[in-house]
Amino acid sequence: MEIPLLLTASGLANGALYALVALGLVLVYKTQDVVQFGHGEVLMIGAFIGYSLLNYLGLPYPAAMLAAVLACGIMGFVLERIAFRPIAYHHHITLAMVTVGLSFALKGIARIPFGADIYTFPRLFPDTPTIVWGKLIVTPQHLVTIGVALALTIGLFVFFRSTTMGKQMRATQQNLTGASIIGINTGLIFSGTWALACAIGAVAGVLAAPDALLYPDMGARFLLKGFAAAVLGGFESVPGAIVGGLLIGLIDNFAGFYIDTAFQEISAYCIIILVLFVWPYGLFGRRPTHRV
Amino acid sequence: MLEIAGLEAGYGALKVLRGISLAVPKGKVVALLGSNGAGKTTAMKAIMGVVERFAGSIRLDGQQIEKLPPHAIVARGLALVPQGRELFPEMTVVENLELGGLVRGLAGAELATDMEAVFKRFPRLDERRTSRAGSLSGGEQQMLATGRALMSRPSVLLLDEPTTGLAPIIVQELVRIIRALNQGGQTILLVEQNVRMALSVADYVYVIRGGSIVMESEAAKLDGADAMFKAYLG
Amino acid sequence: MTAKRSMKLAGLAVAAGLAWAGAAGAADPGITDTTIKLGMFGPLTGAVSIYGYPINNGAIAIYNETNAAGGINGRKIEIVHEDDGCDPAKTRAAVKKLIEQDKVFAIHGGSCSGGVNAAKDEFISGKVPFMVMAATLDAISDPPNRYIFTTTLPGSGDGGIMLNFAKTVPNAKKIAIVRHQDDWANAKMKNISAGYAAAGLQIVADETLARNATDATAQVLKVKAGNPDVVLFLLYPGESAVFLRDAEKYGVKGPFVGSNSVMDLLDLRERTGSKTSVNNAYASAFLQGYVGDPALEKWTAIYRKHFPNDKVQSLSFYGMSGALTMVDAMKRAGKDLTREKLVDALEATKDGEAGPGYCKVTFGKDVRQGCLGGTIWGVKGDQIVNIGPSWPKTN
Repeated sequence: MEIPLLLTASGLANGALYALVALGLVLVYKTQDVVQFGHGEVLMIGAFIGYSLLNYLGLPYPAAMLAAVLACGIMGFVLERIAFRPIAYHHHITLAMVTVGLSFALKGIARIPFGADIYTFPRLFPDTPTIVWGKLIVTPQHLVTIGVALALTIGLFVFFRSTTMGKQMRATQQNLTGASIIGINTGLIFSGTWALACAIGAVAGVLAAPDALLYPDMGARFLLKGFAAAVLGGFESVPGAIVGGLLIGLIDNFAGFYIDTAFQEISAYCIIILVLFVWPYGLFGRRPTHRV
Repeated sequence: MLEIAGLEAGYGALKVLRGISLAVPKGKVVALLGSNGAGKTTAMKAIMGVVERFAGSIRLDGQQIEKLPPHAIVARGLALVPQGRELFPEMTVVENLELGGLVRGLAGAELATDMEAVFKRFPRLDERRTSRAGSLSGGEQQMLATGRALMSRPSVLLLDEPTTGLAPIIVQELVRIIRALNQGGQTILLVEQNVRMALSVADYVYVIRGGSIVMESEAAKLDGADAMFKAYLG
Repeated sequence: MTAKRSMKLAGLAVAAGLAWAGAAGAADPGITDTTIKLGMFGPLTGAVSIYGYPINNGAIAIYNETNAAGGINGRKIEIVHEDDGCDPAKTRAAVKKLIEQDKVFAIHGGSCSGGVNAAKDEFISGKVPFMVMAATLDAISDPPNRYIFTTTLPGSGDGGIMLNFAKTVPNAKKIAIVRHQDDWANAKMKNISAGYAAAGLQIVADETLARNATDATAQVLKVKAGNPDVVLFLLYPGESAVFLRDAEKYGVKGPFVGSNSVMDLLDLRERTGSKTSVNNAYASAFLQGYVGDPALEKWTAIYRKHFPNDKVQSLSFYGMSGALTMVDAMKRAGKDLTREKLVDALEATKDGEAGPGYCKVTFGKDVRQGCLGGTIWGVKGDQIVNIGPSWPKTN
């Protein structure tokens, strides 16, 4: 039992990060029908902001992380407004290309001050040793990751169910025309959705960075894993993104151990292809319902 | 009161409305009739700000609204029940109505009162409060869309082809509801292809063809069989 | 006509003939009476330029130092720079430009294996002597070609150094390997795969870790299950940190032997976020010492003299051995310097000075990888220490 337990613990921690990445992708996709290929870089920017506030401004750890999340939220809001809204009704391919461009631009911006060096991102509990509970071995960082992801998931659930803004976002996702004719400021919802997606991306970034290390290209792998998680979850489902992410984390660990560690290198691609061909609506996706 | 003067609108280079003028006096039902492609739905969308407006003025209770975005127009008291109903399919009946009331900032008791009024008006919806909007029948969806629009307490209600695709018995129910709304003081602009239905509820009628108003008259003076009237409707 | 006069004429004729012969000898491009034009290329733009500048600057410092000391047989070295952006197509174009347009005499450059390998044919067909700057791909210099030399430790050599150290670990029987699945790691695996059996070792786990992986749980648990006596890791620095961090977490004891990509073991330790993670970790190294090590004092001073604003880092030393070898060979090739004479002189290099490099440079007929020696570094307290190529007798 020891090995499956260890694989599960670290698989869930990694999966929680993938879930957060997938969440950001799904939110933007549901609202504007576009895959945000620059989302991995949002995570990277969030982590770099957190790092800078911590190291250069000397903010306390939680304050620095919170500020980084907030800053990314604002960045998302502004990005949508100035870079995306003017072309929001163009062809999907155009929009996707713009997000790819965004990815390059954000990487370029990060390279100006930080170069291509790899930075070490401090942990929240640097001096707490690995925690051993019986057969279970887990790092404090992993516990923090799982805890924050869980809290965020619950928070989002409440937000979407119970707040005006959350309901307006869901309404806009389900029917853009419907939303605008009942007086929802859909432009604000677009920007707000990007703000939310980018803030969640930044949360993933500051949680991932202590383990993933910090460098301008760190986002690519997370985008790939998050994309696979989103596909597995059906790409239109918030619970799907969460479950998809956790599953990807677990699949990577279990297949890595019991089949071959080389599988981890291609697992994301395998899952994407398999789901798209065999099971195109994923675990939580609904077949599109056609209304007259 | 809704007053439109010289409204031109369309999609990019395509001008669909070629300067229409019409008035919907307070407390009246005005019908805009026309065949498919005459520009009826475009007119509705242009009034709501969903379609680009090139020229002309739109005044709602004396305020200029032709430059405003849709959400601001709704906030000033215009509500559209669109042709495709445009509900939020994954949300319940109650949630759909709630969102309709958001623009007025309705909450708590006020929201509950307005919602109960809608349920009283549409008993079929009352039975399906927690159903997903996407699972309702066509007639129920039309009622929900109407109820949702009413939740914003509109000064003018725009109904875009409410009878499309509905069984005759449901159409009759809708006619009753529109009459009841109007008797309650609701100002309504009704867009229809169904001339008989429209004439049975409207006080005043405009006919649109090729993006222009080609005829207008008090409804009482019109005969559905009028030759010229028929010709315009194509 | 007197005999004396005819003697004089004959003398003139001979002198003229010699002068002509001399002119013909110096007819190779890039050479004047006072200068030698040397081409240099590397990633000077883009993300990789962060490596490009310090590496090239190390070589430039050596050439500048040579010029300051009087040059090479009266000629000063002039360097023409080209940017290859670490891109194969751009590298080819850069090399073509250096040879055909700038008409350089010889070329010293290339820190990206893919680019240098793609440009190989340009040196060969142009018969232009070429010294690799820092690219490690074996295929660049093996099979050998007359015009291509390297003093950079090729990937296979790095693997060899790791294996040689691993087999001297007391009672080592079982080894585990964790590596990337790419050309870089495959090159290092070449000598390991070829030599482990003869060294009496058995591979109990051979695991892959993806590029940019952030977790190595599955890899570490599989290594642990094999209960190895030595663990070799052929990973880039970031992934090395991930692996060592998780190895410590799950209680794998090592010793761990890494490639020269983690020569800076203290940097690696910092990346793992654990003070104890590299206590039993070692890395193959091709430099005589770490940055700040007294063994590198002379070379650090030279770099600082010519680039006072640069931070001295390991990369600052990578290009120096090639530059020293070029300077030495050009001097030995004599006043009538030609490309062919330079190639001959390079080929004759024996136990040449590698500067900050650990090796002595030796080429020969069909030997173009001049620097195969290396050592192993470890960490003692907060210091990197040079352990030597094999496990110390008393540890």
